[in-house]
Amino acid sequence: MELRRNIESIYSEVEEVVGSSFVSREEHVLYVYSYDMTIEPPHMPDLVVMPRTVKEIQEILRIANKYKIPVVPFVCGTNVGGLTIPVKGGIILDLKRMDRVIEVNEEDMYAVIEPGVTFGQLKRLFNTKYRNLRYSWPYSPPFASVVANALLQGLASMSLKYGSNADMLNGLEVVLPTGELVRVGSCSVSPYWFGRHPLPDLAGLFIGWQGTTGIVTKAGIQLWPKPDFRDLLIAVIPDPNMVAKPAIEIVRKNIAEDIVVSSWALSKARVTKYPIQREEGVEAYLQVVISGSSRKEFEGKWGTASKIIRQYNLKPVELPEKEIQIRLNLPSNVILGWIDHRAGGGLTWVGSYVPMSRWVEGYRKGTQIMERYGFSPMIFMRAMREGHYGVLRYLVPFNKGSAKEKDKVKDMCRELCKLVLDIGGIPYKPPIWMAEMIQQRMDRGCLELMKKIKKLLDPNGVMNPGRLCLK
Amino acid sequence: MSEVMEMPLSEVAEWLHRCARCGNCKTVYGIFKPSCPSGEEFKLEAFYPSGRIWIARGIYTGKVRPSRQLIKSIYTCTTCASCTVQCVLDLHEHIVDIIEALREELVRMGVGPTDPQARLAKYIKMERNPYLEPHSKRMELLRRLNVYEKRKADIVYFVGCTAAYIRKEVAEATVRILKECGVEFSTLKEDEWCCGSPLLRIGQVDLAKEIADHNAAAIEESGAIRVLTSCAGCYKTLKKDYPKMGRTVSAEVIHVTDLLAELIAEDRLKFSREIKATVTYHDPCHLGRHMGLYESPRQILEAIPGLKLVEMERNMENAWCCGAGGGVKSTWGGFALNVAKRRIEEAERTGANFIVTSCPFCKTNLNDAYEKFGGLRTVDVVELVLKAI
Ligand SMILES: Cc1cc2nc3c(=O)[nH]c(=O)nc-3n(C[C@H](O)[C@H](O)[C@H](O)COP(=O)(O)OP(=O)(O)OC[C@H]3O[C@@H](n4cnc5c(N)ncnc54)[C@H](O)[C@@H]3O)c2cc1C
Ligand code: SF4
Ligand code: SF4
Repeated sequence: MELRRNIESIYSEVEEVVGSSFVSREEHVLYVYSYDMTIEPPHMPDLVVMPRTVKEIQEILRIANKYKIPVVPFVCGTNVGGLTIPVKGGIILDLKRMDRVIEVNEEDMYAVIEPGVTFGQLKRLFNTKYRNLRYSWPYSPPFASVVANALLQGLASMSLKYGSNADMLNGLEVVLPTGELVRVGSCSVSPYWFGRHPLPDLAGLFIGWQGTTGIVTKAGIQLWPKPDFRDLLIAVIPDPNMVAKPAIEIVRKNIAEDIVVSSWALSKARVTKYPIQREEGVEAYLQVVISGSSRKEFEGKWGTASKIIRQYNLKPVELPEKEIQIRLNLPSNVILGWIDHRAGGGLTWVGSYVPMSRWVEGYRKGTQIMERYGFSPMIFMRAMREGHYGVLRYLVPFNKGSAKEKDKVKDMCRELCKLVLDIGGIPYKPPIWMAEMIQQRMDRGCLELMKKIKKLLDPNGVMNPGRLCLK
Repeated sequence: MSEVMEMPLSEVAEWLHRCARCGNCKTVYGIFKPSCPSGEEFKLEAFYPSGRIWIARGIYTGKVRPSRQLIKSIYTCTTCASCTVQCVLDLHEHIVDIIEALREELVRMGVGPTDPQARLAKYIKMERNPYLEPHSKRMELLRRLNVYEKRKADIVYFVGCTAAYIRKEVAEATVRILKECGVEFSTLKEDEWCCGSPLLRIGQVDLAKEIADHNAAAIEESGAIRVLTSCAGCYKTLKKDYPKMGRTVSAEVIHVTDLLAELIAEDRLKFSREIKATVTYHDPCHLGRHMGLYESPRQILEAIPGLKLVEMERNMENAWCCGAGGGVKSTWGGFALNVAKRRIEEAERTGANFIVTSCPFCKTNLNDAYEKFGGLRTVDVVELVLKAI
C-alpha cells in the first residue's frame, strides 16, 4: 500500500537518474514484463527502468532502499523459470542498454562485458574480429544475455570440459543491494581479469542467486582458442537402458568436446507437431562433438569414439551438412523451433544437474511421467565437467492459450522435479515452487547460511524478493 | 458494401498467444546486428515485436486498458516486417498483421491514430493524397510530359501520391523510360486516388476500403492488363492488401523494376551510356520482405555499363529499414531519420558512392537523413536507368 503511495516520488526520482525516455509506468509497458514463456503466474511491476551506467544503477538502488521497493534485474527474460517476473512488484531493471564489451584480452583469453551483451553480439565479435577465439554457447536464443546465463550456472557447448558457464566467470563487478560497488576475483587486485583464485571466492555470493544479492555490472568471461578441426558424430540409441553407458565411456576417454543425448521426441520436435510418431528402434540420439588442433589428433579421437559406438551396436546417422552446422554453429535460431511443438508459444522445463550414474533412471521414469500426462518425452542430457555430473532436462513446450493445459503442465513439472530430487539431482534455475522443493531437502545449516548472507547483503530485502524462497 | 463489425484482433486471435518472447526477432541471425528499428531506438520491451504482440493479447483479453499512452509503442513500428523474417515460430508471418490489426482496434476504440496521422487521413479524404496537395494537380507532371491524354493501353501507370507530388523525378524517369522503350501506357487520370497504404498502416481501414473500391473500379474501367507502380507502398497495397480486403484488382500489378528487368531481357531497354560509380541497393521493406521482390532491381543495376553493385551487410530479407514506413515519419520524424542514418552508415561501409532504392518514400527519408547527418545520397533505380539510356 505504502509502495503505491510512494510510486509518484519513486518515479520522479528515478526519472532524474535515467531521463524520461528510459523509465515507464505505463500499464502496457509494464504488462510486457509481467510474465514470460513459462507456466509461472504473471505479476505486474510498478516501474520499468533502463539504466546505462553503473552510477545510475547505484542511484536506483539507493532510491529502492529508501522506499523499500523491489528491484528485479532483466535482460531478455528467456531463463525459462519465470525468474524475472516481479512477484512482489517493484522496479524491473532492464539492463539491455548496458551492452558494452569493455575489453577483449586475446593473449590472456578473456573478455570483460556488461550484462546487456548478448550471445549474438559476442558471436559477431568472434566472426568479425577475434576469429581464433570462442565461447561456450548454450542453445539460448541469440538475444539472451551472456552474463545472466553465466550467473544462472547455465550449460553450454564446452561444459563437458570446463563445467557450467558460471565456472567460466573470471570475476565480477557488482552493485550491492545497498548501492555499494564491489569487485570480486583477480580484478579486485589486478588490472587483469584472469580468474577467481587465489582469493576467497566471493563471486559465489552472486552466482546462482537469481539476482537476489546484487546487480552484476561487469563480468570477466573466459574465452578459448578455436580448434582447427571439429565435427559431429551422431548415432541412434535403440534402448532406454543405453542412454548413459556409451556416453560415459566416451567421456572417460577424454576425447570429446561435448556429449549430448537427446530423446527421440526432442530430436523430432523442431520439425513435427505433437503427437510425434516414434520411429521403430530409435530411443534417443547420441551426439558427440570431436575437435582437434591437427587432423591426426582429430581423426584419432573420432576413431576412438566411433569404435565405442560400434561396440555398443549404435547405428551412426548421416545428417545433411546444414543440420550439422545448426548443431555445431551456435547460437542458433532455428533450433528454437521446437517451442512451437504444441502450437502454443509456451515453454517450461525441469532442468537439473544429476549424477550421470542416475541418467537411465531419470530418463526412463521421466518418459513415463511425461507420456502419462500426454506430452512427448522431450529429454535432453549433457555430460558436464568430464563426467562428474550431467544435465537431465525435461522440456515442455505447451499451449499458452489453454489454462487447462497449463494446469496439467504444472502438475507434471512437480512430479518431474520430485523425480530429479529423488535420484539425487538438483533442478537448476528454479522458479519459486521448485526452490521450495529443493530447500525441503537442503541441509538446514546451508539454508540458514543462505538466508544470513541474503540478510547481510540486502538488509531491506529489495533485490528480487520472493525468489529462491529466501524469506 | 456492408461488413460485419467484429474486433479486428479476432482475425489474428489464434496467433496472439503464440509469441514466446524468445527475442530472436530482435537481431538479424548470422549477422547479429539489430533487426527491429523501433526496439533499437526506444529499447523498452514494448517497442519490440514481441512486446507489441503481447500488448495486442492484453488488449484482446482486456488485461491492458486502451489509452492514448499506447500510441507510442504501437505506432512507432515501421511495419518493416524484419521480425517476420527473424522469428522462427509459426506466428512469424502474422506479426505485422497483428500490429496492424491492433492499430485498427485502437482506431475503433478512439485511441489511435496519432494526431499527425489523423491529419493525413483527413487530407486523403479531402484531396485524395496525404500531402494536402490539390487533387486537380495530381496529373500535372503527366500532362507536361504529354502522356495524359492516352485513354486505353495494356499498361496503366499508377503514379502514386509521393511520385506525383513530392518525388516527381521518379514519375518523370518512369515515364521517359517507358516512352524511350516504346511501351504504350495510359493513366487513371483524376480517377487515381491515393492507394490507401498510409491508411492501412495506421489502422484507418474503413476509409482504406472505400478508396480501394474506387481505385479497383477505375483500374477495371481502364481495361488495362497490367497496373504499373513505381512505388513500393502502392505496389504492396494494390497487389496484396486489396485482395486481402476482398477487393479484386482486375489487372496484374507490376512494379517498375520487374517491368524494366523484363524489357532488358527482351532487349527493348538498351543502355548507351556508362555510369562510372559504385552503388549499393537499399531494399524497400514493402517491396522486398513484404513482396519478395529482390532480384529485378539488382539485375537492372548490374546491366548498367560501368556501374558496380556492392551489397550492404544487411541486405535483401535482412535489410535494415529506412525508418519512414508504417506512418512513422509523419509523427516521429526524428526517429525516422535516426533509422535512416544507420542505413546510410551501413551503406558508407560498403565503399559505395551513393545508395539506390526503388521506392520514392525510402528515397525521401534517406535523403532527409543525408541533409541532416551527411553521408551518402540516395537515388531511385529509374533515375539511374534514365541516365544510362
Ligand atoms: C529455447 C531456449 C533454449 C535455452 N537453452 C539454454 C541452454 O542450452 N543453456 C542454458 O544455460 N540456458 C538456456 N536457456 C535459458 C536462457 O536462455 C539463458 O539462461 C539466458 O542466458 C538467460 O539470459 P536472459 O537475458 O534471458 O536473462 P533473464 O531471463 O533476463 O535473467 C535471468 C536471471 O538473471 C538475473 N539477472 C539478469 N541480469 C543480471 C545481472 N546483471 N545481475 C544479477 N542478476 C541478473 C535475472 O533477475 C534473472 O533472475 C534457453 C532458453 C530458451 C528459451
Ligand atoms: S515474435 Fe517470434 S522471434 Fe519474436 S519473441 Fe516472439 S516468438 Fe520470438
Ligand atoms: S515490423 Fe519492423 S519495426 Fe515493426 S515490430 Fe517488426 S521489426 Fe520492429
